[in-house]
Amino acid sequence: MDDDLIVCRCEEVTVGDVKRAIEQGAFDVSGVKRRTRAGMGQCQGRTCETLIRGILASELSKRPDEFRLDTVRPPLSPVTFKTLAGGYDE
Amino acid sequence: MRTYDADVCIVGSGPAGLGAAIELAKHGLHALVVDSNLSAGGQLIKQTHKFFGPTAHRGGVRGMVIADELYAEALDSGVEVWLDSEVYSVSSEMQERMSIEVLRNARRSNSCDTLPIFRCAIKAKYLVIASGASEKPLMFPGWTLPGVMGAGAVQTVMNVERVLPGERFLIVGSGNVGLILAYQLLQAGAKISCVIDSAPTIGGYAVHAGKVQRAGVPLITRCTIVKALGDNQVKGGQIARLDENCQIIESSVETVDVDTICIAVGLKPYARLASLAGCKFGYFPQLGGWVPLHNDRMMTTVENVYVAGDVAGVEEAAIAEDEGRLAGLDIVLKLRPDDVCVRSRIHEVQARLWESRRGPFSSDKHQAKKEIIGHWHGNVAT
Amino acid sequence: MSKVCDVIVVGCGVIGAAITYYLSASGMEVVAVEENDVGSGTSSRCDGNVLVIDKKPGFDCELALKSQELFETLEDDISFDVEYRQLGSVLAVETEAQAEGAAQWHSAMSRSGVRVKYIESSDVHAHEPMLAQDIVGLFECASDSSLNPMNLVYGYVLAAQNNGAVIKTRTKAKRLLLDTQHHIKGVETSEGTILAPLVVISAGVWTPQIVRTCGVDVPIVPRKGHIIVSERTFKVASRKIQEFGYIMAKFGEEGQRDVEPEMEKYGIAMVFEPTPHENFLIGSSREFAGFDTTCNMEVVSLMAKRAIRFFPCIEDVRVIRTYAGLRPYTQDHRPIISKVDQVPGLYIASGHEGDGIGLAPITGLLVSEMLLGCTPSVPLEPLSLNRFM
Repeated sequence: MDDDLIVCRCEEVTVGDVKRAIEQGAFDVSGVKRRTRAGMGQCQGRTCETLIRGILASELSKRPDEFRLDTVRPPLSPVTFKTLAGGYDE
Repeated sequence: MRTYDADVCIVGSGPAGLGAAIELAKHGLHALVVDSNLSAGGQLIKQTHKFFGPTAHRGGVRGMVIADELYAEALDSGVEVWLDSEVYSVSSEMQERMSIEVLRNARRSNSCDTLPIFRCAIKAKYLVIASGASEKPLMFPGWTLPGVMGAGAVQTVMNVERVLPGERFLIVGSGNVGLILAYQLLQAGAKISCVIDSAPTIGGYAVHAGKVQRAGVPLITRCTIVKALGDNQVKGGQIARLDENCQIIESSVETVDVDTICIAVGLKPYARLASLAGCKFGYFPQLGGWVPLHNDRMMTTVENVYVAGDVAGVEEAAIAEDEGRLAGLDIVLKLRPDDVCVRSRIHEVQARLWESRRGPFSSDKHQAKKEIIGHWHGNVAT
Repeated sequence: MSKVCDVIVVGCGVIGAAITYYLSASGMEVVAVEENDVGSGTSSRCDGNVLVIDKKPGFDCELALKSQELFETLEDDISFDVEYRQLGSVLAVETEAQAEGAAQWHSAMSRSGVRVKYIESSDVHAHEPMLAQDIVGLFECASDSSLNPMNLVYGYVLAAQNNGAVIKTRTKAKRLLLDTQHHIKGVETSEGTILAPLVVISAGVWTPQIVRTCGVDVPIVPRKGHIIVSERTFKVASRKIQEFGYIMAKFGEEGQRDVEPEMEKYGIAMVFEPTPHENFLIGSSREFAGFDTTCNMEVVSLMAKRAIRFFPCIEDVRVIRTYAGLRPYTQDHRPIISKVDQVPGLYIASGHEGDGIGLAPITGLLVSEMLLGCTPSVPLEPLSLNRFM
């Protein structure tokens, strides 16, 4: 795995960034996210979360099922401020 | 914010969602289906090929026709369907009801100023999550270049939007998705360089593989993508053979002349809503990865929340529909515990489901589903 | 399995990380235990404030100012980039009624040594062009700053580790252990017992449950707050902006805001924070909801509404995520940085209610001063646990 490969396209986080986060103590997707911003972008991890779990499994010599899904929070897809504020409510 | 009441809110109008809704509506319940797409039918609307299997499972009918038939049956049965309606939040309320927050008209209001975009909340006693699956990513040098796309995305652009996203294609992954895509691309006039798979054997059914091979497209196993070539977009692909230890054989590296690379390495449940609703998950690679736990009636670890279809484990359309029907029927039974007919319908659908999973291609999925049900019992007991 | 060290720090969020750094820098052998991952509790649900502008004039200001001074050399001290930007912060004055009440607040702040400047309505939009047209004035505190809270945690952790501190993650403190004289002697954790003559509890909202294991009550209660995260978008403002009316409400002046009752029910107060990543965070809300951190979309809706009131331009900007955190609240809004008289050797450093990031350095320094017997940088009585007896 080439360290320069982009893992998180939205925040341009590389494989190397993720490996460094793991070296510095990250042991789950949340930990990688907090240290690198991977998964904090527009798609909220839809593309990269699977890849990050794969890197965690390989760097920490664990099975993929030992890495749980990251917490999902609302909104499930982007919503404008005005819509959320009820600005278009009937 | 306006609120709408329903007995059951179903998220997703693919075969699972419509299957659930039809059973509910036929038993006199108010079923409200919401789907963020502009048409109902889920993945079926992209499936231009004829499905095979027994007539009871709609063998010989094109996927997109099945979608139309199911949608018509749903509307005839009294199902309410909201299209262009995106669920963005869910929470539980008083009296064991769920509140499902929906954004309406988001897509259409982009092109039509007079159509208002607005949010509303659906209040329902039960929630059926039938949100399907999403594509697994594959990381390799150049994977972020324009021209690298998910196979499902290529299929949508081609079969729904009627646009070919490129001219010369490489398909990575020889499961049914990759094989069916290959054949449909040929039908649309595209050129396919080859279909490759890092595994030693072809992943999909021989029926699909045969069609593709007879059309002259090489299916190469033990072959991987090394990189996508190009600076600003895909200008080619570099592939190589693998030895028994899955290592690249350097001398086999070759360049293929393609402008689009389709990634068909598998699907995984798209279960973010289930996660938000508090459902517990289990890891089942045979079914795509993390799957919401459910019992033999499709109920999750959250009492009023059901799952059905690919979101409950990636299988096939006929199974999705039956899982939907099973979820719908179990909800009917909860509201009509003495209804003997419903009980026997449930057993009929369950039997059909287990029957569909017989056979050499499905034994691992069959086993996985049994384990899911076992885990559900374990989870609920603690 | 027992391990002996000089001091155990329980809880490694921003406060625990700062304490571990200061103690390790003073030469003590420190073991920090953290139930999950460093900073994964309240510290990961914050925006990155280093503010004096919203502090009560008097001691609270003094504490915040002292901490701000420590930030000025922090990045060099710990050799870590915390995205520290000293751009000042701003309070938006919404109404003439608020502007009148503000004069007194302005003098009180000045007396406490805080440099606050008032910007009249004619100049407001030269400073903050995207603010709503009817905003009548701005209070500006030039020394305020922003940073990335997680970077602060990781920076302190790495610097502490370089000094020899041991940080044990996924290690839950179960019980405080006392000797026959009722002195602290160590901590029983999920990964074994650690012995030390000094123990500091910096576990935020979880401090009371740990300290209760040795029979002492700590009056810290979780106060839930929400944050809204926007997508990457155009620049709305380059520094932190809050609404002034809320500061007034916080200090007991009623009727300063013309808002619906739900806004007051959830303590909604507009807080805008730009990040270096081309997006912004919107806060804030306050409610007592136990330890629940699920997002309440009714509260989020009110926050969005209040944000649009001040920045109409964000109407069509999209929200990509919301989250909630638990502020460790004390009745007088001041942290507890204190020895525990009933248990010699036991110390508490918790209760920072929304000011944890900004007060982390001074807290770390005060704890190290207390443990080493040095003269404290600020008076300790206002921070004592005994003030609640």
